[in-house]
Amino acid sequence: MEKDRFISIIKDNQNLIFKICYSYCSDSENRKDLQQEVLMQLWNSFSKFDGRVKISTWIYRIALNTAISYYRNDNKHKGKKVTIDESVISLSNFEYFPEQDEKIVMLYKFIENLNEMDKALILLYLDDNKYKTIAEILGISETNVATKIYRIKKILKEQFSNN
Amino acid sequence: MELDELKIAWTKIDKRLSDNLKLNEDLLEKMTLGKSKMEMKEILSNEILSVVIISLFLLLFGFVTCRFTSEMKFFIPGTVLCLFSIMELILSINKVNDLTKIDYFNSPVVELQKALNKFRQKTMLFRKIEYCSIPIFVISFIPIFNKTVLNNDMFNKTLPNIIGIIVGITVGLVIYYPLAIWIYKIGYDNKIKSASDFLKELKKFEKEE
Repeated sequence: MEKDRFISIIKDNQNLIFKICYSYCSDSENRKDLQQEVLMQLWNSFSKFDGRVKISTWIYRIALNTAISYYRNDNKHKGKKVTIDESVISLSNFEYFPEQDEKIVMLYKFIENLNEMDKALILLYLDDNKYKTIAEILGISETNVATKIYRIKKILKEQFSNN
Repeated sequence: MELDELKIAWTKIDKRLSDNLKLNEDLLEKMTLGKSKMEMKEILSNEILSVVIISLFLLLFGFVTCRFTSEMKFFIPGTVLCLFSIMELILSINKVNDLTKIDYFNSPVVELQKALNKFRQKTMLFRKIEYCSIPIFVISFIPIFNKTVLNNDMFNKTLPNIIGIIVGITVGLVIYYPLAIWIYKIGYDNKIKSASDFLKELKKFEKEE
């Protein structure tokens, strides 16, 4: 019963898990590992989820925290816990990085160069989260979120105009 | 190009992503749902085990030291062993305390990352203390071990033997400390720097308005 509920929640939110793993891990092998780690952490904390925050907020927090820790600890040197040949969440019919979608390619390149925290912020912003939700997930003030997004927008505009 | 324009492109691709992502339920079941182990829990269990083991050693060293209250040559190293165990116990309890306070599942990103990096930094500093004090432990342990287990009084020797022991200890220390510093520099210095840089970054991220 609990497993079924969990699977259904993951199904509903698999794209956000996929995007976070994609943004924090450029190597496909490590990305599988990170994806597994995120799902493991979500499963471990599932019984502790008390519904005080939205389910997506809870998933964002755990997925971002796991991705940042993974990125900082450089887990690829630790040796993989489990060797997996396929991803739990994968694409069926299309390439996520369509070459023709230049805007998205450039946006991902821009995201790749951001530091861990700005990366989290911009992902939350692009996923159309309200400033209040972003502040709640990251643990900073709404004003701070607004200021940072304004700064990132400015940098992005400069970078895109240079290209 | 404005970020808002990119947001529209992002939403479009997100829609395509939602339509095409596939969740491999069998793999999810096999790889994740069947397991309950967690890294932080593993660290916490190890630290709790350390507290238990160190407490047992403290009791043992305390018991042995009490037997030598009338023999200063053994009482002093025994006391050093007890102090070393107390220090280790404090470090381990401190780590357990920190780990139990970390709310891995409900904390916002900045708060959790700060807690994790402070813990990492502290653990590596504790390791430094341990590296520095290991020789003191070994020097104190050898005569106590010889006396209690092998019934051999190391101090009851001729002067050349005692000089030999002193020279041995000096050579050991001369070799150990540069080696320990080198190992620490290679293994921990960069990690401490990385944790402290990230903490600075987080502070800036949190405060900047």
